[in-house]
Amino acid sequence: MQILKKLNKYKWGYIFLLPWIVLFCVFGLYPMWLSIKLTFLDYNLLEPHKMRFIGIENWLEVLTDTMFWKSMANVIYNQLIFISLNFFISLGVAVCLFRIRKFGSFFRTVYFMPVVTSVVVVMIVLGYIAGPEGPLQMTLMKWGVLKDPVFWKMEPPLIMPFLAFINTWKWFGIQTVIFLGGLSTIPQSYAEAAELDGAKSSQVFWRIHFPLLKPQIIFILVTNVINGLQMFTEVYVNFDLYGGIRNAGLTPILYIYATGLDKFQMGYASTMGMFLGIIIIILTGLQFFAFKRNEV
Amino acid sequence: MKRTMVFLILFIATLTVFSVKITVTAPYAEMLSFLQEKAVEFTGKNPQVEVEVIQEPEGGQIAALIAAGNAPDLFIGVFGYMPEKYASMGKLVNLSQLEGFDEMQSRIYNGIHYSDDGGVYFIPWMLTTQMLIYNADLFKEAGLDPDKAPETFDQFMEYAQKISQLPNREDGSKVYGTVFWNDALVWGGWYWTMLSQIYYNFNNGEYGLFDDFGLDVVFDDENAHMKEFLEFCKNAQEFAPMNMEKNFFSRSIGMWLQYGYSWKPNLMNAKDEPMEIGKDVRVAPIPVNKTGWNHWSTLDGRSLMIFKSNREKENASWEFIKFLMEDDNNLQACEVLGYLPSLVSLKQHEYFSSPENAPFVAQLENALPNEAVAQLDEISNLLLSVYAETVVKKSMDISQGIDSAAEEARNLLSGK
Repeated sequence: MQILKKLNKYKWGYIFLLPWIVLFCVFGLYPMWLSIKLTFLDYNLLEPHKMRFIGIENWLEVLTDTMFWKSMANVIYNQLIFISLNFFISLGVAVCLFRIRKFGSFFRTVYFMPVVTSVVVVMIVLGYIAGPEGPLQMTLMKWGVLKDPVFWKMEPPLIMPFLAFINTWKWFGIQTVIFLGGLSTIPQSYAEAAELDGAKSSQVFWRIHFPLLKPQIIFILVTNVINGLQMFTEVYVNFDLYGGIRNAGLTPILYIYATGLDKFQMGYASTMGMFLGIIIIILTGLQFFAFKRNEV
Repeated sequence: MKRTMVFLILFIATLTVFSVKITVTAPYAEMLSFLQEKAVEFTGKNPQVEVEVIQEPEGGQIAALIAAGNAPDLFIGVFGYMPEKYASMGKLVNLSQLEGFDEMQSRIYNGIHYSDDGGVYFIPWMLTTQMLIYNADLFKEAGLDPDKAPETFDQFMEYAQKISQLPNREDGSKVYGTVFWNDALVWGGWYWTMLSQIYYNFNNGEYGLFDDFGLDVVFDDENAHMKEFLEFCKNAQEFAPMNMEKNFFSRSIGMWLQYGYSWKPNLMNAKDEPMEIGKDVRVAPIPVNKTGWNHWSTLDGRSLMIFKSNREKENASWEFIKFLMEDDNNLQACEVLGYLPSLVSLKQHEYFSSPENAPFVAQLENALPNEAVAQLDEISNLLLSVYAETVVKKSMDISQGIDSAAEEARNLLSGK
C-alpha cells in the first residue's frame, strides 16, 4: 500500500524517467543478459547452426589464456604510467591556473583543446612527430640525446609508455578543469586563516587544498581506471588486431574485438568481456574501500 | 476504375515476382563510383535486376552482417585466405556449378582456384604483380648501368651498397640503396604478400608457407631457404632507412623490391616531378638466388565472391559477374582502377603493351597466387614478428625465430 502511495506521489518523476529506463532495458540490460548467455555457449558468429552449450568451459579458458593476461598486463602497465602522469600534470596545471589573475580562460581553452580532438587524429599526428623520422627524434639526435632513431612500434617495452604519454597530452585538460572546479569550491577563508597563522603556500596546498579535493581525486581515479582498462582506439589505429610485435600493443578490448569479429568466436569474446567487467568492478570497489578506510 | 485497380495490382505483383535486387560491396571509393556506373549500365540491359553498390563496412562489421543474414550478394575481396575463410564456413556459392562457368573459365588466365573440396568460390576480376623498380639517375650516378638491373640477390646487395655511398642530396637527405615498408610490419598479416615475392625467389617458387593441402607449414624446410631470405633482408636493411617516411618516390632510394602494378598513381606524386617508367625509373623482374632461375612474383588482385542467399539473387549476382567480365568492362576496370587483366583476350591489348604496363603483364607467366589457407593471416603475422625481431631489430637469431614461428604455426593449424 505504502509503495503504491509513494509511486503515486512521485509518478511524474517516474514518467519522466521512463524513456531512459526503457532505453536502458532494451540497449543495456537485454544485451548484457544475452552476453551472459553467450558465455556458456560455443558460438561462431558465422556458423550459428553449430552453436552448443559448453557450461563454464569459456570461463576456464579465460583463466588460462596467456594472450588475455598479456593484454591485461599491457593495459595495466599503460595505465600506471598514464594515471600517475595525468594526475600530477593536471593537478599542477590546475593550481597554476587557479592562482594566475590574467589569461586564465585563454589557457583553460588551450589546455582543453586536445580533449576535443579525435583520438585517431592525435595518434597519427603525434605518432609522426615522435616517430623515428619525425621532428622530435631528429632534434634529440641533433642534440646528442639519442644516438639512433627509436622505432617505438617495434620496441615492445616502449609501446605502452609511448601511448601513455600521448594520452596524457590528450586528456590532462579535462582533469585540469575538474580540479579547477574543485579548487574553486574551497572557501578562500581556510587558506587565508592558515596564512595568517604563518603557513607557507606549499603547506596550504598539501594540508588544506589537497585533502579538500578528495571527491575530485576519487572521481578522477575511478573513471580513469574504468576507461583506461577499456583502451581500444589508440592501439587499433597503430597496430593490427593482435597488437603488433609480441602482442605488446594488445589490450583486452582489442583482443575481445579480434576474437569476436576476426575469429568470430562470440561466446569466448563475451566471456572475456564479462571477465573484464568483473575485474573493473573489483578494482573500482577496492578504490572506494581504500578511500573509505582513509576517511576512518 | 475497377479495371485500372486490377491492372495496377497485377503490374505491381509482376514487378515483385520478376524483379530482384542485389547488393554489391566495394572496398574503396574509386571502385565504388566505378561499380555504381556499371550497375546503372547493367540494370539498363537487365531491367529485372536492381544492383545496389555500397561501401564495404569496416572493422569486422561484414561478419556481423553475414551473421545477421544480411550479407552482400556480391562481395569484392582479395585472393587467398578470404574466399577460403568464408567458403570453409559454407557461406559462399560454388561458382563451378553455375551456368556458363566453363565458358568463363576458358577465358580466364592463371587465376581460377579450385578449393580442396573441388569447388570454385571466387572469380579473379583483376590482377596485380610485383616487380623491382629502380631509379635510373641514381644508378648512373653510382656508376651502374641503368639498363642492367640486378639479376641475383648478390648483385642487388652490391648495387645497394654502391648507391648508399652516394653523397647526401642538396636538401641534406641521405641516399639509400633500397627500402622496405617496415611500418607495415605491425599492421597485420597482409604485409606478408609484399615480402613473399622476395622469399619465392630464394627457392625458385617451389615453396610457400604451406604444403599443397594447407595442413602443415613448409617454410622451416631447409630447401625453402627462409633463413637465406631473412639474412638477405637483414643485410639489405643496412642500406635502407628504418621506415617509409622516405619512400622510393622521394628520389633518394635506389631500388625497391615491393613495387606492385597498382602503385602506379604514386609515380605521379614523385618528388619534384612525376616519375616515368622507361625514363627516370625502370622496372625489372625481382632478382633470384641463383642465375638462370625463373623470376617470381606474387599474384594478387580483386576477387568476386557470391554469398549464399536464394537462387534468384545468386543467379542475378552471377549475371553481374559475367557482365563485369566482358572484355570491354574488364578493360575499363583495369584502366580506371589500375590493375592487370585476368582475361586471356586482354593480355595482348595495346593498353597493356606500353613500356610501363608490358613487364607486369609478362610477369603473370611466373606469378604465384596467395596461398588459400584460412589461417594464412595469423601465420603470416607470426612470420612478420620474426622478421621484425631478426631483420629490423636484430634482437633474435634467425634460425631460432623460424623454428619458433613454425612451432606456433603448427599449433595453430592443429587447433591447439
